[in-house]
Order: sequence, then C-alpha cells, then structure tokens
Amino acid sequence: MSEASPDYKLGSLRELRDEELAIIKKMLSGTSLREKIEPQIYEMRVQDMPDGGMGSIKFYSGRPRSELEYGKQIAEAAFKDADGIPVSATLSVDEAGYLFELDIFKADGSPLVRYPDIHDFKIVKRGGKLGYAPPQS
Amino acid sequence: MTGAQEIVFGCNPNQVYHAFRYTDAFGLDRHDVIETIIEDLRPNLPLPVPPMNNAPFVGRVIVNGILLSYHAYPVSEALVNVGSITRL
Repeated sequence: MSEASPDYKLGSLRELRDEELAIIKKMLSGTSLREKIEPQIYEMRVQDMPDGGMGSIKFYSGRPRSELEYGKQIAEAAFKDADGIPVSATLSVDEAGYLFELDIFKADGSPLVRYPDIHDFKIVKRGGKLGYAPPQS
Repeated sequence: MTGAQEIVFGCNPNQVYHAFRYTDAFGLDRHDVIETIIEDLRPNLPLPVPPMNNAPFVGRVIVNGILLSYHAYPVSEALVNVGSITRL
C-alpha cells in the first residue's frame, strides 16, 4: 500500500480486490444484513480513502455520499499485519442499509503491508460492551 | 502526556483528517472532541500492549449532544492512537 495523497481526496473508482472481497464476505457472514448486502458487493465500485495508506475504502453507490449519510457499523474484525502490528476493520452501511465504508485502522498508523489470510482475520463480537472485546470463541 | 501514555489522534495529516472526518462533517470542534475523548479514555490508561485479541479499546462519548464511538489502540507503553471516531 502506498501513502495516500495529502489532499484528502478519495481515489479513483475501482472494483474490489479479491482480498477485500474475502474479508468483506467474512464480516457479513455473521450479520442479519448478509442476504441483503452480499449480492451488492460483486457489483460495487469503491474508492481508496485518504487515510495514510491503511487501506480504508468507501463504497460507491452511483453518487457521492457524504459522511452525514453514515448509518451504522455492522461488523468488526481484527488481525495482525505482516509487520506484527494489530489492525482493526469495521464495516458500515448508510442510512438506507447500503454498504458505506470498510474502515481500516492500523494501531501505529503505518501503511498496511498486506491484507491478512482469511483464517487470520478474526471477527470481533463485543455484545454492546465498551472497553476491550471479551475473549472470542 | 496523559498518564504514562500519550494520546494522539493519528500519526500524520492524512490520519488526522481520517480520524475526524465524521466529527468535522457534523460541525464539531476538534478541540471539544479531543478533550472529551481524552477525559473518557484517561481512567482506562495504560492500555496493555499488545491489545487483547488484536482489537482496539472502544469508548463512547457525547460531544454537543452527538453520541460518538472511538477506537483506541495502544502503540507502545508510551503511546495510544485514537481513530475510527463515528456517530452512534
């Protein structure tokens, strides 16, 4: 991953990469919105977000959507990057229930080295609790 | 510095922009957001390194009547990085 432009603009429209598709499908697998959302993802275009190269993407639904149209987070996951740094991934939908963002937050803010092997990509379930997530089964 | 760990909101201009993209859109003052999150997070410091399950600490705050969620990652015994600040 390369450093994002400092002008804070979204990247060009592109298709989802296979590794992005894999983790999004895994994040959707435990949600009640899976049946509604999963058919969308094969058609959707995305734009890289100017997050310093951590790998966040914004889903494009035919028109630009502002942050004010954010709806809610529907899934959370975590993994270790190739350099051993923890990374958080959160998937959100807009107010109409369409995919909005895949936010990638690397602990030290350094650029993402690579997406994880899907088996190392762990869904985080908090059950509405704050603080650290309880031990995952 | 806050306790033994300094709290930052992104490590470069892109990340700072990314961290505050929602609160900026809501018209919230970044200083208010920072102060409120630090006040909420401070009693929970130090965050253990490495974080449990590789997942960040999650907190909730209210700034100017807007309920926000934030994620905080311990980078080291000296640094915590806050990001993913979203509306709930």
